[in-house]
Amino acid sequence: MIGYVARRLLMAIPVMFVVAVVVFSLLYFTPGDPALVIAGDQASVADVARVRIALGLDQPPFIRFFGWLAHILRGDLGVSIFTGQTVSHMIAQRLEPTLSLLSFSVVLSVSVGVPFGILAARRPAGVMDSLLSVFIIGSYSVPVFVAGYIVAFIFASTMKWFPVQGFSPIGSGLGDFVSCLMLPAITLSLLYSAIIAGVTRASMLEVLSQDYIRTAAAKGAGQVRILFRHALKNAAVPIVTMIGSGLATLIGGAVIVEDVFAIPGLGRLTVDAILHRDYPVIQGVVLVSSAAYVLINLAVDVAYAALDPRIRY
Amino acid sequence: MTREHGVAEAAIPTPRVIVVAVPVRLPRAALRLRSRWELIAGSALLLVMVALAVLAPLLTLFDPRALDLAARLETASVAHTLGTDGLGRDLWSRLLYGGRVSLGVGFCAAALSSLIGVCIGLVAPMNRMLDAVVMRIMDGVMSIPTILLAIALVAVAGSSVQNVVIAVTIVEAPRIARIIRSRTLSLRSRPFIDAAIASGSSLPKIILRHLLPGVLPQLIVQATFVCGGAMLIESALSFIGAGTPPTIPSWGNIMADGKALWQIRPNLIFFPAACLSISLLAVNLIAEGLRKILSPQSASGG
Repeated sequence: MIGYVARRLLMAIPVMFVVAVVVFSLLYFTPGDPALVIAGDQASVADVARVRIALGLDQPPFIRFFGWLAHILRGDLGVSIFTGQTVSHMIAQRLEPTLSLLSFSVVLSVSVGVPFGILAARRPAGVMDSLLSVFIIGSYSVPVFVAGYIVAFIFASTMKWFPVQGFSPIGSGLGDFVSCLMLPAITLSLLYSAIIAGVTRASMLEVLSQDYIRTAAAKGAGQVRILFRHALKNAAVPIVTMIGSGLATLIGGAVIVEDVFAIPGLGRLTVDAILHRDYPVIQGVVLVSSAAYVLINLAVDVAYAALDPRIRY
Repeated sequence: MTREHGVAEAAIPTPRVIVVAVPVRLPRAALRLRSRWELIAGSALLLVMVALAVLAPLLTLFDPRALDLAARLETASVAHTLGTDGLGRDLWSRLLYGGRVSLGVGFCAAALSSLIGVCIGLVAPMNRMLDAVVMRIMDGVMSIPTILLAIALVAVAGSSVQNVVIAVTIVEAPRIARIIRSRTLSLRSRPFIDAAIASGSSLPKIILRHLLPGVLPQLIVQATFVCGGAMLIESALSFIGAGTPPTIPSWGNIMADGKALWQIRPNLIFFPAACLSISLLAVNLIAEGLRKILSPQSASGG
């Protein structure tokens, strides 16, 4: 167990290192002199020189990378070119709406996706199975921002059940919080719950064909008991793994959905940073999201190894 | 490439066996496919969308970029088939020309990432050290959320159609490389590869003549999925203002333009959205159909 956790931790280090290298080298994709681009059109020669020194662009890339990495490891993500605030402060300020949206969507997707997948697997090629196929191919074909407008048009503009746009922090009332997040979370959950339902179906089908399921049925266990008590437990590993690895889709989707529903979260921060060419903020957001993604998947794997004695690599 | 049991297996070489063991089963599999409707429906839909984009100059009289402030936000009429947008530009014409960018980015990015992905996936497993290093790099790139990485790349490199294609390629090539690599690894342990080594084939020849045909079915399926993914990323980037330059119409850009006005004129969002979704549906149906034919063992997976 401890050996497995240690090995899994060690595997995450090169991955995070590569992420850091990619994020760092983003600056080299700027056409021409990054200092010139960052300083802006109106900058004097002195301004450009100041930016160059501030970014360390006068030093060789190798030295700059490790200097930058040392700052990152101390939690210092640099300073925004546009607002002058530290990037970590700006990210912390915008974290609540995004985290609320993401956790709401995960809960919604799991509680829809898993039962849907189970029902589809219960009778292959049955009604629920066909519905699931349509749901999956549909949600892969309707991009998240298109889905956002469709959902907003139906439930906000036409039915007026929920507000069209905006966010209300959980501190100022649970009702507003939920009703503001409902449509964005539904939008975001369409693809994610389809992915989860697909994996649930495949994994359940595999387990349901095993001998012990037939034994349970022969001993008179009811269908609900077989599906949920006997099969789901053993089918859970790929499902939980997919819930973890699907988070990348969810994080990327959140950036877009926040733009559609005007939620002041990390996505809004990213879009604003793009408009202002605020490189440190873009780098910070990419780095923090990727790190969160790697760590959550690490936690999922470790938690599973702790719960399921069969997992020992 | 040297394996101990490989010598033993190659010591009983019968050329006919080697030919039989070549893992391309395309013709037979294609003959006994049961349902081809996905492939047919997808191809038909895609053909229509491509034809509309290619024949754009014949189907509209309007320049998609021509402003006509006197004719802003017009509803559908004989002159303007689908009405005009907030700057008086003809929506039908913008959709047709937008298809050229959106579909073009999809096809180019799919081709480019397949090329790079298949090179990495075929060559990396030939050396243990190289494989370990390359795959760690791929893992790292893949652990950055797709859209975020593409956004960051285009945001720093500047928005242009070319940069969008490059960004999508950087994001998608590792996924193709990983799938091709795992296929290459399983092919490499087959006797016919050992036989090729024993008969003195050079490494480039083994890769091109023996391994490449074996990974081709997976590559075609993945390239189709990537084509859809690329169209999706292009539109998402353009939608939030970090993709194709706003002056060039693409479905994502048309939606971005319609954002501010969608409560008054929902069509400015829903028409480009429909074009995008139909094209994505077409590509996904083709990919699903191809997967059922080319790799039947994974077809039950969802």
